[in-house]
Amino acid sequence: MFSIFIQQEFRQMTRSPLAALLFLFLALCLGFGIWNGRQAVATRQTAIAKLLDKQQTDLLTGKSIADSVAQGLKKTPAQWWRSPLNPVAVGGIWRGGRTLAVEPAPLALLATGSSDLAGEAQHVNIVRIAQRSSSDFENPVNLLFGSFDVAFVVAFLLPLFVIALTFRLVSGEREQGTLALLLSQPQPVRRLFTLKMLARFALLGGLVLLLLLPMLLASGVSTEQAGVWQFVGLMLLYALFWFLFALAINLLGKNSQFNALACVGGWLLFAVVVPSLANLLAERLHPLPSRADYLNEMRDLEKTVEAKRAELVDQLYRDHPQMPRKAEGQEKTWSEEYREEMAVMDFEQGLRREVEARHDRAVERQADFLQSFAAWSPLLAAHEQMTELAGTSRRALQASQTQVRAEQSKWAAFFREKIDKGQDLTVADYHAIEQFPAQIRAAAQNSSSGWLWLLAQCAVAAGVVFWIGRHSRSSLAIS
Amino acid sequence: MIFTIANHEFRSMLRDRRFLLAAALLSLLFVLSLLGAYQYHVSLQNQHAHATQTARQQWETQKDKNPHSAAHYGTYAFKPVSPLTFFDRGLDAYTGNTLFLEAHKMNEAQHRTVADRHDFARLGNLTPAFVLSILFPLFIIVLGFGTVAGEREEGNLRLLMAQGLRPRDLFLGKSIGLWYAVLLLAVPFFALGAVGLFLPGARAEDWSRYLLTGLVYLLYLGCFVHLTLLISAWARGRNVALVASLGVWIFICLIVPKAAVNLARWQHPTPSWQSYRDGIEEDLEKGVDGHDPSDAYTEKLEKETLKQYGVDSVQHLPFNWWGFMMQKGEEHETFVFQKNKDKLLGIYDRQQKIHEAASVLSPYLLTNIASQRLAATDVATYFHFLAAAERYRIQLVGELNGDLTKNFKYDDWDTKRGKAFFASNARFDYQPLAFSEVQKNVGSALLMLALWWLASGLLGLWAFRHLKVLG
Repeated sequence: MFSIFIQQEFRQMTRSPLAALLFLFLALCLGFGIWNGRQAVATRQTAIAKLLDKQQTDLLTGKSIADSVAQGLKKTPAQWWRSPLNPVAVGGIWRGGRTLAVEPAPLALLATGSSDLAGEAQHVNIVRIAQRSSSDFENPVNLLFGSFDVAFVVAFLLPLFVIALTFRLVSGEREQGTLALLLSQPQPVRRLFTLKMLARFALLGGLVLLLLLPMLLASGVSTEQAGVWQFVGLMLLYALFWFLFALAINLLGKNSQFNALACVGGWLLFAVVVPSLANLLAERLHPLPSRADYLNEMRDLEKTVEAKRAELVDQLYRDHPQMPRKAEGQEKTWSEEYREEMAVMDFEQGLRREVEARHDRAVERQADFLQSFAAWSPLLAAHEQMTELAGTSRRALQASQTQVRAEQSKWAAFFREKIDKGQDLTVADYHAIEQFPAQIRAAAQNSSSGWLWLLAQCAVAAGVVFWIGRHSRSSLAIS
Repeated sequence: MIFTIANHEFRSMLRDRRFLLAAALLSLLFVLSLLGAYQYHVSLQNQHAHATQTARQQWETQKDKNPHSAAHYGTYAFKPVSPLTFFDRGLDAYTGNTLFLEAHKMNEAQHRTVADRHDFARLGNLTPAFVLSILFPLFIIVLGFGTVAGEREEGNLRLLMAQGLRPRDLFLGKSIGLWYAVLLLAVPFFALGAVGLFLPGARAEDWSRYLLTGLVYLLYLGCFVHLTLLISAWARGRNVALVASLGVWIFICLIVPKAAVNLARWQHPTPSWQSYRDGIEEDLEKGVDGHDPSDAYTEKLEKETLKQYGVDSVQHLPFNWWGFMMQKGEEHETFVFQKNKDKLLGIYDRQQKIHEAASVLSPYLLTNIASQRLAATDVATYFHFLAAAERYRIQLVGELNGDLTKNFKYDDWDTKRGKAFFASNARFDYQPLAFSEVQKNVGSALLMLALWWLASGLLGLWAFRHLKVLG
């Protein structure tokens, strides 16, 4: 039975110029989305390569100077704060440090997510982490409109293709005068139209696969990549929701015009109204804390730190009696100066982290609130899951930040030891520095909340179809 | 005849439940957007006022220090809130809110609001401008898609044309009828949207900006009135008219803006962090380093200065050499940063040209450009603020280096300045872009929008002249 429907629908579609036009447009949109994704990933990779090249050049220069000094061919540079042998200068407080590039995940080309706002790298030094972000120089207009990526095509345009293919599923039969014939079949109405809907779903799904998979392969994404099939599955599940939604509207037994308006109304609700209202409520119920106040608060910490400076330095020498302390007024070496400075900076960083954590908690409260709206919109659920799979969601980018923090701790510990001992860096130290990672990968997230919400939404839509279908023979006959 | 058709059209719409439902929904969303805008605007204004006051207080009460150390301590400038942000937030969330002003560096503005927000925040913000530019055209489509296609399906069109009705009159009548419905909502919306002009900080010229904004949106909505009628005249039936109108809406409001962004990026890529940085580093090395007396350019400056004043050592100069050198370094650094910033602006301008070229396909882009410009939430206004902040930075650092040069002896790093001195330093007083400047910038977008309105109208008229009375 199903194969008959498939054949019939296939024949109808191949003969319909509108369907051909729609499929052509879908193919163009997917192709353009993938091409844009490739461009974005390539741009990011070039930016990373530039950062890492510069880092490698500086490292090799430093290593070569350390080697020359060790062999007595050169003297230690006079300005210690610029010397490639000095742990403060290389480990970094004011300059120096290490760049950790955040390499895009394999499926990053499918969804831009927050990656156009996040940095392509993080710069760690002895005391802090800073972003290296080309988005600092991005035209804000580009950021406002966002990228035309596959996630946009799937989340926003695919439902409209589904609606265009299905809004006349039942009403079209009536308007052509073939509904009575269909209703006279010894089959329940629900089953008949569900099969018709599934046939269209299978055709659209098959076609999308035929289009997308070769495009992905051509872009260097292997189908063995676990995320690819999850992405495809997600896309099909999302399309299924819209087929079920359109079927439910069709089964109400109204005319095509009503169906089209109701389907587009639904799309508008899930794609435009729910996200907008979610943002409005999030701003009202969980407003973002002021960044300006945050900065001023950070600045006020400097006074607290200054007031505590003497006490902190005393504490340092009490805790480390082996460290010799110079009397007031005596000239200090860089090591003596900076181990005191580090003790003060540790205290300052502790205070800064408290302010940051308070700010981050408020930011997270709003983000969690917004995320909960995935339950109310299949578009949000699908979008969330697509960016998770592409490793470009806010959560995925935050996960990479955890790795960066761990690397910063190791980096700081390495140089702190040298500073405390007042040791210059050697060639062996440079070998150790080279072992620090220069790249980490933005990982696709295993979160499945988007999947679960989408499954639940499909189940609800199927339930509605079932319920309407039970009562639809009479309503279809009457209308 | 035209007004008879228009009145009839309007009456039919009012009797249609679709009108009541769509109008009620749109009005509800608009009122919600106003409430959201009010909260956003007031909160932003309070934050800005508080932060500005605190930053100044911090500057004045900083620890006693040498003027150049104070220049390194720096201060913050906060992006001001335009009164019309209430209506159109534009790029507000996508541009940095704070700018750290310090010696030797022109920093990038930091902390875009959008970076603190969830990914969903970029999928839609309910603002008055959003309701008018995205949702209102849908209202027009819902009301107008069947205007001609429906008459044809019902056989009325044949009757109308048989009575000798001129296509032009039919087009104008239908168009005016649709306009009645549009104005019935748009006028109260604009009246309500003017609430922002009564909030603190609003200036008299904001009224002119707002009125011009109203004109922009009316032209934009007019384009959709024409397009809807055009499609309705072309389509065989209501179904096709509805699907085609929605397709055009999606193309204009969703597809073209995003595609334009990608094309602009592809044609004129913005530099990467490292490229931008390399450009600055390279240029900086070609001039005086204010902190390194052994630098070749500084040595050259020293020789020239000694020669000019006829002395053999910097100690004998009639001013403090260190302050002078730092100020010269500052001037070079400012030149370098400005040069690179100008290059970046050049790229933005070229990207903007592509956005404007794409607006041939999308009046939404034009409306966006004009509305943001008038609301002072566009790139030009943002860069105007950055430039003003940079001028202030130069002035402040100049004052501090000037004090070091004139009032300090050579190598005197121990004398410190305190509260009275810091309180006397210049304040940052940002004056927004003058309306006359804005008018110049908006002119081209407005003209293009008027052309769009005219062209879509002429096309509509053409479609009515070639109307098929039978489906």
